[in-house]
Amino acid sequence: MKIAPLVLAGGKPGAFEKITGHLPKTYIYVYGKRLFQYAADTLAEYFKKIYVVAPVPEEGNYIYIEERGEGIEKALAAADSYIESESHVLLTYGDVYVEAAAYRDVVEAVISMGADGAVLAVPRKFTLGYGVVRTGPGQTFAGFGGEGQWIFGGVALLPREVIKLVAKLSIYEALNELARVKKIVVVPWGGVWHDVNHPEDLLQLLEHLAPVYSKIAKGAKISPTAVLEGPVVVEEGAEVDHYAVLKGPVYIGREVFIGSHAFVRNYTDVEAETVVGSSVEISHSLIGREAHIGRGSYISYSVVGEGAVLEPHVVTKSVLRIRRDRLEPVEVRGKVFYKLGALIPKGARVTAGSVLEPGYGF
Amino acid sequence: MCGIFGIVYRRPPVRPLGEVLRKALERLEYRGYDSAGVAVVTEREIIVKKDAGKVAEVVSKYGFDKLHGVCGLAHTRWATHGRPDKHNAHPHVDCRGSIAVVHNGIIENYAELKEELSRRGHRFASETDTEVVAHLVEEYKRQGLDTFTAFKKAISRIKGAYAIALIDVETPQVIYFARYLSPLVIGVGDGFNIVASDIPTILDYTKRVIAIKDGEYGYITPTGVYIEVDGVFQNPWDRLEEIPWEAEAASKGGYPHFMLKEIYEQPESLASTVAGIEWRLLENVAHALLSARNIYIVGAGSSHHAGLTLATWLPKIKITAIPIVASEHMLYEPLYDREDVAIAISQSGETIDTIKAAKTMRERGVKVIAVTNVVGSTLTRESDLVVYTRAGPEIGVAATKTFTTQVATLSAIYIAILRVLGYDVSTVENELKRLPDIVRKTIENTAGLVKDLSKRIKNRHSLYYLGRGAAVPVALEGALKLKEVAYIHAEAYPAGESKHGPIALVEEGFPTVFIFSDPSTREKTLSNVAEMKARGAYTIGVVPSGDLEKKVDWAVPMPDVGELIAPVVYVIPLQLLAYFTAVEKGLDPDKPRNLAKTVTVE
Repeated sequence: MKIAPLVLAGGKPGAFEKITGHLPKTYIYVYGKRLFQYAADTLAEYFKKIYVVAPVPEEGNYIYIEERGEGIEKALAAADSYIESESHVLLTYGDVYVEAAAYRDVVEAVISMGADGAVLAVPRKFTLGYGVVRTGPGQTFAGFGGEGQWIFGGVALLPREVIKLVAKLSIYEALNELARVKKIVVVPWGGVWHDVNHPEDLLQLLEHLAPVYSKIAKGAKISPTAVLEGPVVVEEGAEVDHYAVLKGPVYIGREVFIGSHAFVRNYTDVEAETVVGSSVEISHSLIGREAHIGRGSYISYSVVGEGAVLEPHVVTKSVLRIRRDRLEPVEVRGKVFYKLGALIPKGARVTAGSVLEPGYGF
Repeated sequence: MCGIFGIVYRRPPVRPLGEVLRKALERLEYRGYDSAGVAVVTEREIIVKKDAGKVAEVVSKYGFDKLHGVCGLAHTRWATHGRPDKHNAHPHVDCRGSIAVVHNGIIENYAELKEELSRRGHRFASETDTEVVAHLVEEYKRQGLDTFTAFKKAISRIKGAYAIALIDVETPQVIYFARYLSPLVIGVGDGFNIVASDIPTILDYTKRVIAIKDGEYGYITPTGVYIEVDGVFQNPWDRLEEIPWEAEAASKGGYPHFMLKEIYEQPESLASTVAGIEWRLLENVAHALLSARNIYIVGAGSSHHAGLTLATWLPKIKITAIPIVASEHMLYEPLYDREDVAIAISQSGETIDTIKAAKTMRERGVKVIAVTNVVGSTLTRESDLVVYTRAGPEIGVAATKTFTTQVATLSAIYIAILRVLGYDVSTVENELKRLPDIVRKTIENTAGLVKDLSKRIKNRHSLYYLGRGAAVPVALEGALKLKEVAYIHAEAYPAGESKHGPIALVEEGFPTVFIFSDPSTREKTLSNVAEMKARGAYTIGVVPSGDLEKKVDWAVPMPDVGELIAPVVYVIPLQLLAYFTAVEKGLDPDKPRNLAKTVTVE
């Protein structure tokens, strides 16, 4: 068995159009890396060659396969001619983040159970839009469909012939077809697993991918009165002005400017070349590249698109519901949120003094 | 389940072969730990060292480390056919001791093969199914076939599930193997090759592995691998795969944790429990119970909870049973009498408290019926009758599949009593047969809900698990799981007790899990839900699907099942809840702090 790890990083932006424009959602930057690079880099720990199917080549030591047309089916078809001698493909969705152990489990399941392939199954309450995995006797994969709460986790090790099958059928139909003639096993996974379908999914991802260690680049300029409480990552060329407080985990991208008296709280990701004005407070938010956050703004549980301009004193309200002095969870598309701020589209301009209601734009 | 390992070298390895085999045994101990053994090929003979007991015991008894040779087999056993003793331990040899074989799985047609071979003069030394393979190969070799052809012919005769490795003194540098349904992997080394039941055992020596598929067989030599299926050669090198991680990072055959593996394989374990029910034996048990003056049900931990389920059923047919926590059995000692019968429940059969209770009881003339998962364990020697639960080995410290198979076994005992009393048992029998499928559906249909729930409770410090009647043991077991692996305080008690004290702790958002497995107490339990809700508790209900779902804040709907199998079905989401919560908290559910799988000290 020779394995070709294949990261599917293409597809329509869907709900991410506001944030990534025409680019696929996997192209969003999270803590300085494109989303799909998390899957690709995890795989790179184990495999020498990583194939990435994407509309535009990016930095990174991967073999880029140009996506022709939309959908997983087209992406796989495009990969066929690139993959050389490999007999199996390790299919990985670029918008899914899962721990490395899940990839190991899938590979080992195939080898130790003498199977032809394996699919990762994760528990999920809302299964709409996902492939529900049916398990037969002896952990075998009995196909997609029906009732159940184990869904396809976006990772599968499959014999190469699956590529030929998806040329004619959808990915789910192809796997059902394959399960009839080959021994495919189900690998259940109960650990960390995130898929990013909607922009609010990024907020939970921020908690999981947050930096664990501090790293201040040599060329970063940190004022002597600034307070950095780790883990804080500050990239090359960034500047943190006087009396700013960075309370980790926080990521400050390349050439970012953090104004004086700014308070950057935990799980905040400020991407490259963004300007954060003085006395701004940010927590649990992703600020895209080249954005401007005007002085005195308060941003929490929010996603700010690339190049967006927030004029001074913009406030995002984020408390969704309170009952008897306690935060009450609210379900947004099957996920539970206690707080949710605003979604500011790419290149948008928000007038000074605006107060944005909880969940605005999401 | 058993563990297999075989290695063949071109020249004597740097380390003595015995040391390599010992290490493999240690790695494979999780696959079976009632006996262990090795076989090595020297220039003119096969040396076999084996015995019942843990690997460490067997190793120190026979000094494996000093064994030399170029080819060897190792095996850790989990008894299925024949009790764990020296004779039944693997490897098994043929009549002349020139062929040795190790096996994992079950050979279904071994009895007829054994009879056929006995008629031809083969002498069997063990009660195992495995031994027939050695004799079959010997028999075909007698007919003039070479070892591989004889091996192929032998494999074609056996039915069932197997992973087999075989050595022959005439071909000292060859290990023959075959696989069907049981796991077997080849490891490709530089000047040596390996066959083993799992990948981590191989990773100690080489990272290059070849998967063997069902129905394939072949052999390995120090430098070669040959695989065939139905007489057609398969190119092994097409499948060569380099594992890029270390043995320590390797998974458990495609599962992140043993606990999840064991929860997930409950349909299979229950199927084997149900298939293995010996109704004649259970009728003897039933007669003994029916003629008893007092019935004691003794166990510790999850086994005690399993025993409680039986104790809740018996009053319905006007039988009383006294459930006893094993370590507290002295309280009841004055009662023990020769007209009494005790059911002693222990997964391992080695739980010291339960064994002590059983011993004392027997000394006082009480007839002891053991319910255990381990063939030939100490408890079985301290009992008059033994009922096996057939769950297979369990590695996760928190009991999951062993608890559900215990309850299934106890429900079979209950059915046997009903039979003897002349009740119509066809409905409950059918339900027991459907149990594996129902459990599979339950695992499929509740996992997502429970995963979300685990995110809600992971930061809590305390929970209540409540039920009434037959639901109380389920609540106790659910609470125990959460304590064991997620380190969250969980208290279970009969729901009606709330107002007698525990409700004082309830404040806004206090999570309370209600178990609705007992249909006769549902109405009353609902009033307890209302009482908790009124105090702001966050109510979670494991409820039959339908109207009841709306009565709690978070419902986990269950399929419609009868009272006898309800405890098994209703405990499934509670096991998953404990597992997911542990994983959410970043804990290793397989190795809970301060706990040992089997408690052998008082």
